[in-house]
Amino acid sequence: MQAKETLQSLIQNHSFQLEFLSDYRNAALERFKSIKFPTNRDEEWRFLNLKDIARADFKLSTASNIQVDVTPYLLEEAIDSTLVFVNGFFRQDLSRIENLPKGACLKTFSDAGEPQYNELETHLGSLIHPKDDFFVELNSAIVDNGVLVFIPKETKFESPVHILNLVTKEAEGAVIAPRCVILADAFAKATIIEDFIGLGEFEYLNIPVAEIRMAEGAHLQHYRIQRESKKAFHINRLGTKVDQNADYQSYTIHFGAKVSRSDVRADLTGEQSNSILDGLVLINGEQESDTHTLMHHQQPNCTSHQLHKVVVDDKAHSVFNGKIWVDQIAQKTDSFQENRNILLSDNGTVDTKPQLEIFADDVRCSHGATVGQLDEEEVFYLKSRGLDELTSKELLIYGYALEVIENLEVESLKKQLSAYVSTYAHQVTEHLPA
Amino acid sequence: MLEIKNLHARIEGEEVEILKGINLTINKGEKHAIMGPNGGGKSTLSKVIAGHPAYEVTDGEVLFNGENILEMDPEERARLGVFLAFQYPVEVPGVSNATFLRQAYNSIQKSKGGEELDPLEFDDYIREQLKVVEMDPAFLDRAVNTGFSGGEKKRNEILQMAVLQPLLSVLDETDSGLDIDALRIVADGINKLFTPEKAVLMITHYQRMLNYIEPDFVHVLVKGKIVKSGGKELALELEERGYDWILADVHTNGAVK
Repeated sequence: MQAKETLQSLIQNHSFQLEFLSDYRNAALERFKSIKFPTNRDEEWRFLNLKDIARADFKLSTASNIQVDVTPYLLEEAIDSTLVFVNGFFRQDLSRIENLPKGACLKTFSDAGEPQYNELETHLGSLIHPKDDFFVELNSAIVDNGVLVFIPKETKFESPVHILNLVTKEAEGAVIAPRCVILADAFAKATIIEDFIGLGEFEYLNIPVAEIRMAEGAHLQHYRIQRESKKAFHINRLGTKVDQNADYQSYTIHFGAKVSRSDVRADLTGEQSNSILDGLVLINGEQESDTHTLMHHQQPNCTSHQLHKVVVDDKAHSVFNGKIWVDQIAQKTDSFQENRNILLSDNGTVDTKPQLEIFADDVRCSHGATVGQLDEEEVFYLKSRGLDELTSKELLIYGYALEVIENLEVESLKKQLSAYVSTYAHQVTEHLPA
Repeated sequence: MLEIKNLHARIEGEEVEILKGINLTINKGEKHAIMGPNGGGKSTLSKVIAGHPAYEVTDGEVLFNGENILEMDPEERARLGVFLAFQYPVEVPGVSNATFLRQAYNSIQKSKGGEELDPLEFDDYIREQLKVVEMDPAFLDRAVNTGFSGGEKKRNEILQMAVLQPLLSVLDETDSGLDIDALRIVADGINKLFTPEKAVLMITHYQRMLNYIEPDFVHVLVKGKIVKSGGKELALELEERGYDWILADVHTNGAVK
């Protein structure tokens, strides 16, 4: 990162679109000024290689109206509920929002209108911890036109919401700061897809932040798909508050970026709530991917599930740090966590640290991590049916990854991701010793 | 079809031999059964025939239609027509049965210079094979063996046998874990698939499977050697008298150390 002063002056001289967020931005900028760029000496950033980000000089992304063909990325189920952002800027011409349920809101911050500004100001930044994170404060210091989703009480979004964040070559060397606030009122139900796609191979820094507040009995499926440019940096943070009887199901898929980091936190703040934080990471070459999660059980009788699956090839490096925190009051917690890693090469690295912090005495919690190669019995089984070694391994890697993808309830997205998985499986088995 | 000569094998990296000189000849059109107490080497024999990498052959030969297959990879043996129905079929999450079976079928067809099938053609083909084991077409879309009951897994093995049409089928305790109805369906399937050009080697603890699939020869495998061979009546005798009399016989004659 260039001297922070340069970045600060870029921010101070930048003309933002949304005036009503200027106080929020300025306050964040003040905090940002006092935060140092993280290094491996910081426990939270111990394993991730930040040097390439530190070295780069980033500018702020600017709006443009370049032609972009979005059709390959559209999801047919979400055709009436798609918001497209290009290089961080909303593109009305590429978006389409029709037939929303009564009282629902699926808008950009600027279109949300006066009544919702207050709402927004209340929630913006309220679920993000810690507040003194370099990238979160940078996002807040330059936050502009994000997305506000409001699902009213006892309302169901029939179609999934697709928030498509595209980055084009015009944003080479830029910082992009997508922001998303999702409010699900009591017994509301929706599927939200945040999709990050780089159109080409070039460098940029994408630092999305999302906050989700779920009231009693709300149901959310939340997919975050990271398929950035393989030269890009992607550092995202997500905070979710899950109230009584609410059900939050999050699937985070990381395919792209040179360096990616995902911080996910779910606070189970109401009894009998449930949360799933599943993940899939497929990396090769010199990619680095780091996932930090916190599942915080704050009330009794809640359940949580976390299966984080990773495949590492070449010199790639995966980090998983998953914490389950069970407060003293959170009796009868039932929590499962597993991090499974397949390491295909001698030069790849996997760092994994599953953690349990339990202060209640009547809970059922399990956690574990495995790092290994493909199972010999499985390979033999497929070979005994006539498949050669490489085809067998390719099929097993494909199946291993697809087990996560299969949970997604949006067919066209599944199809897109399966195609990627298939290409990846082919690529990484091609050079394996036969 | 299959000639096993003085076969010795052990687990890779271990000293102790599990198979200590097996001799067995199976001609086409024959059904053989291998019985014997636990730990005798029955499953090891089946895995060595199929080419499991965990086992090391220390001596002897396994000829399949005159060709020594011991140096071959499992897939090469499969393409020649060797099939092993697993005692514990492996779950392959994320891969549908249909995809898996089509890939397996096509790889075998390809090696034989036969016609490969596209998904639609294969769908027609496999629907016929499903009938052999009375399986619901819904199984085709499910991940291979994943979440299948024990009986469903065994049926799925026989479905694979139906699809791949092997010459020699080694059935490793295919009857275990099956209830009466499932056993009948599986056994009927195996009988339907049998032709005078093929051969079957059944590994089992129990006579009950042999009530449905009548063997031409029964062998008793004890401590890594075939200590007794006979016709189907030998199985009945074992059912009635257990293995003790054979073991006693073996010890007195010093056949097995």
